[in-house]
Amino acid sequence: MITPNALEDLYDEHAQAVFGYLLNLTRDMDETRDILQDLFVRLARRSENLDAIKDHRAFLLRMAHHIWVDLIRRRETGRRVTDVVLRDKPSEFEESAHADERLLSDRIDSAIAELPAEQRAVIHLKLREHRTFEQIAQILEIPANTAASRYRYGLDKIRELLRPLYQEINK
Amino acid sequence: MKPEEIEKRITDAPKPKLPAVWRSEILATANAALNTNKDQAPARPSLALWIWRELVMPLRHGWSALATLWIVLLGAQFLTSSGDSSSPRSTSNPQTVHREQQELHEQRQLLAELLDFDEQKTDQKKPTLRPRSQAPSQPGSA
Repeated sequence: MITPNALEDLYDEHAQAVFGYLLNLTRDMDETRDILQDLFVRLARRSENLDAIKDHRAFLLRMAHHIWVDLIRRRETGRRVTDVVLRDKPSEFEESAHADERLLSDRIDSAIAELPAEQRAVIHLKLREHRTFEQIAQILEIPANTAASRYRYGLDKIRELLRPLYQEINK
Repeated sequence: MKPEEIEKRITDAPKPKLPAVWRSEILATANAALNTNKDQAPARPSLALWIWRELVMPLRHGWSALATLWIVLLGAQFLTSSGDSSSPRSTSNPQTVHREQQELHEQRQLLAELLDFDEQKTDQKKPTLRPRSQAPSQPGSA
C-alpha cells in the first residue's frame, strides 16, 4: 500500500507534467483538477505500492488518460468529443510578451485545440514530454505506428491552420 | 511554416503553471482515501489460501507434473501387482498346487521327526515324578 509520503513525492515530481497533459486534453481547469484529484485518490486506494513500476510519470500519464477517457464516456451526450472546437478555453501555453509571438502562440494553441483529442495527446507527449513513439504507444495503449501517424496528421493540420497567419506575418 | 518550426514552437512554449493551492487539497483528499482504504483493508487471508496463492499457483505446472508422475507410478505399481497374481506360482495352476502340497507334506514329516527326536532326548533327561515310597531303592540305603 502506498504511503502518504510517497503520494506527496509523486505529486511534487509529476503533478505538473500530468496537469499539462490533462489541460491539453480537457482545455478546462475544473475538469483537469477533478481528473488530477481522481488520479491521486485512485493511487491512494491501490493495494500495491509503485516499487515495481519503472517509469512513474508514464504510469501516471496513462492513468490520467484512462480517467479522462472514462469521464468523456460518462459525459457522452451524442456529440463527438474529438470534433469539439475548444475556443475560449484556457490556453495550454502561458502568454508571451511580444505581440506577434503572442498572436502566433495563441494561433498554435487554437490550432492544437481544434485537433482531435487523440492527435492532441500524441503531440503533447511527443513535444512537451519528449516521449518516443514507443513510449507514447505504451502510455496510450495504441500501436507505435498509430502514434506516429497521429502525430504526423496532427502536425499537418496545425500547419494548415497556421498557414494564413504565417503568410500574413511574413508579408 | 515548416513542421520543424511548429515542433520547436510547441516544445519551447512555456508550460502552464499548476495552481499551488491544489497540492494541499488534492493530497488531503488522497490521504483521506488512503485512511479509508486502511480501515477497510481486508483481513489477512487464511494459511491455506496463502499457501495456495504463494506456493501452489506460482509453481502450478511443476505441481501438475508431479501429480501426473505420481499417478503414472501408481498405475505402474497396480499393473505390476496384478501381473504377479497371474504368475506361474499362482494357486490356480494344479501342478503347482500339487508340488506345494508335497513340499508342505515333506516339511511336516521333517518337523515331526525332529520333534520326536527332541521328545526322546528330553524324556531321557527329565526325571520321572513319583512319590518317595515308590522311589527306586538305592544301594546302601535302608
